[in-house]
Amino acid sequence: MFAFFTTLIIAEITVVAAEAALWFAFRSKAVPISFPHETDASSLRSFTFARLRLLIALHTLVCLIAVALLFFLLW
Amino acid sequence: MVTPMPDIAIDFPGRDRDELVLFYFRQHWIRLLGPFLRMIVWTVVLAAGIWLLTLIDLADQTGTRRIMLLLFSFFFLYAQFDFLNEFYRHFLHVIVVTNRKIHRIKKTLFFTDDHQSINVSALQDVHKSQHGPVQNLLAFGTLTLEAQESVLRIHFVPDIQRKYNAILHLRGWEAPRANGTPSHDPTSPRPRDNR
Repeated sequence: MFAFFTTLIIAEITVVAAEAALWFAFRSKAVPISFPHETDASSLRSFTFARLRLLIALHTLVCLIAVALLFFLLW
Repeated sequence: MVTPMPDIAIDFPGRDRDELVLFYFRQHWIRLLGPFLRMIVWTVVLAAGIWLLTLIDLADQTGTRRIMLLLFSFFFLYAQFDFLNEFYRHFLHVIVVTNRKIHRIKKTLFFTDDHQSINVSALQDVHKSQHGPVQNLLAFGTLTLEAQESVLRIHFVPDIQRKYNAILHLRGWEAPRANGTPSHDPTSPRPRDNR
């Protein structure tokens, strides 16, 4: 049981670290103009910075649940 | 769409002090469809694999099961992060049209940081191309901006007809300014396009 939880926690930390690394890489590269504004004429205009952050948080949560499910099914 | 914003709060690298942002856009959402479908297919294949494993007792031994677990986790996360990478790239590829220049800012998360700009007054020709039913139905395509010694190709331009018209209009508007005889003040308010 100890091995199960240790491995699961390591896997979950890896997921969070990878998501965070991608997010911070994006934050450092994004310019203010990357996000919707009054003059935005893109086809995906609804993604404001706050919504994008929320979406990424949800994605992280889904990935964490999926990995935990995999562990419970296949360990 | 081409309403100048004199007190605009947005900024971008390479912008001159007197440049006014008219509009900007990212590529059409269809660009994300391929990576999205790839992620979905990977996820479905992995889910089917897990279902088969649990159904036919293929991985009866603990060792085999854990190797499978490792592989499934790796490929699931790879599919997710591959899509996430493409999704972020979508926001990092921006075309900015100002009263003086057209900028293409193209970045990736780790390896690319491109900035190409073309002077509106140096524009010699503008081409619009839409090939196939999908491009025509979803109103996207490629804009080719030709200047004296450079060509700027902008692919997956959403609502391409409006952008094309706006750039043509801008070129006609900008051309007299290059000779020092402004025909139109770019900072003056212009009728806003209701879209």
